[in-house]
Amino acid sequence: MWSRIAYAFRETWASFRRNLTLTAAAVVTSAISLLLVGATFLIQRGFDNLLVRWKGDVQMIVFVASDAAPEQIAYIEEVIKSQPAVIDLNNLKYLDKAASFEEAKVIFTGDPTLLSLLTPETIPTQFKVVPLTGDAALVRSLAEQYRGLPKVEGVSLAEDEFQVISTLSGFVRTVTIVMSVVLLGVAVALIWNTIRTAMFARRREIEVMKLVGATNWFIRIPFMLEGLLQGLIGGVASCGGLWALNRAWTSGVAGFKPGTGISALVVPGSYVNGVMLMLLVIGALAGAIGSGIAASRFLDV
Amino acid sequence: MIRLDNVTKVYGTDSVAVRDVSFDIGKGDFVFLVGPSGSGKSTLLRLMNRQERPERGDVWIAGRNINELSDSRVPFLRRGMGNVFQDYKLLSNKTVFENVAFALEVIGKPRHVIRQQVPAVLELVGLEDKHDRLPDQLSGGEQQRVSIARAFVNRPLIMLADEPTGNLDPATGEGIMQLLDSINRSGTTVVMATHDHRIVNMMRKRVIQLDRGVLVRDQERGVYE
Repeated sequence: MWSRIAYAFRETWASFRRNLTLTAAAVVTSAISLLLVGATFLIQRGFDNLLVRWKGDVQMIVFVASDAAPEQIAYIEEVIKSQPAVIDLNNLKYLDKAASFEEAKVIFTGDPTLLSLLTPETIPTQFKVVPLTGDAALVRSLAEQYRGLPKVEGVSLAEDEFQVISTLSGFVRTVTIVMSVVLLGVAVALIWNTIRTAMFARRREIEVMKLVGATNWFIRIPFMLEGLLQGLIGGVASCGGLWALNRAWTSGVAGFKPGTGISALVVPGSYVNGVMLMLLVIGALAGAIGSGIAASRFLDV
Repeated sequence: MIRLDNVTKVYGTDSVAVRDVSFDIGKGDFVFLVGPSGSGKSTLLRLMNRQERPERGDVWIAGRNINELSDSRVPFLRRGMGNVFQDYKLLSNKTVFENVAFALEVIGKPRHVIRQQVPAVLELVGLEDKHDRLPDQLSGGEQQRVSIARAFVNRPLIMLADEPTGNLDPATGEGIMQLLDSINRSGTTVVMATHDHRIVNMMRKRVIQLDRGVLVRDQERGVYE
């Protein structure tokens, strides 16, 4: 058993060194494609943060002052509910102080100064309103009506904040996903080609191995390890890139004035770590599976 | 040990390499497959180690029909066979010792077995003092001895040799034949494809003659005609 394992690692290492140029090309391509995959996830998460308060077709948010009495809050709710033909009452949500504070923590991840000023006691509560009508003018007139109610601090409309970001988010997501899928395909193709070249260089050895009774798995495993290693090194490089990118982005965002909303685009560290782990797994799997298929395909040399 | 029942092998759509061939080879036999180039000798050897499958007929090795063997079982069939080739098929970047050890390594034999069996077989083929040479530092005859050592190190039941003396001068070829003969005397069945008249006539073993894929003669203690 040990001799087989030692053999597999020895052959992997030897082949890795023999095809250094092709290996480097495969590693760089997989690193770039994985970096793009990682960046797609981070960008998406940033936009999700930005849009978190508008989730579930919410078109209007009515902010209620933190010192509003329960009966004042009940009155506002009553006014909103008085128009069941225009407002979707089933989806009308009230976020109390605790829930609003949790949401703020996501939105202001990248703005610790602002976040430190907010407490669960001082934060405004909110009604999330989903209108039934598509008539923007009508929604706007409702907003005007709510602004006049006592203890309403303000009313935000999705139309003002959300539309541009949402469109931009969709566009960026499509572009980055397409690019990363294409590049990942190129990386797998390069790994495939490296393995094919490695197998061609060793075709006589493989022929002898088959004739003396080596199993196909025994022949295949060093090549799969080689592919796995290429994918994994690419993954490690992409993690380094992603870490640097995220760091530069976070410090860049910190330079913006507080309250611009851009701070929501900062992604929490735990999420970045999760994405990095995923990149390592994708890199290793793509490398191992790609080279395993290539090895099987060319085992008849 | 080896039985072929009405075996036909066709390459492509109409190139018949072997046509309706049947014979039986017993345990410990030494058999020459003779005939001109393209008569089907090598194809028969390739059918015996399952490098090829026949279009019709059955190939039996040690009581098993190897055409019915699943692909995953073929390596285990081959572990009971040694293969020797005209062009030796040695790995040029490995020493004599490593070339022979390779055959044991790839079937997962432990190191202590390799350290014990490889020197023994190198001594048998007379290359014990050249174990650290690379193949291109050896003569043709010596390279063929390495190839035989590799084929025999696992003590196979059957040895298939395809023109093993084809690239060698007569004196060296005779040495190789003595080696194959002694391997045969140890109980291994040897099937050797050749068109070397001199060797066949010298050895006087069973001769199976092919002509354009058809078996035309099967003779005990035969000569090359």
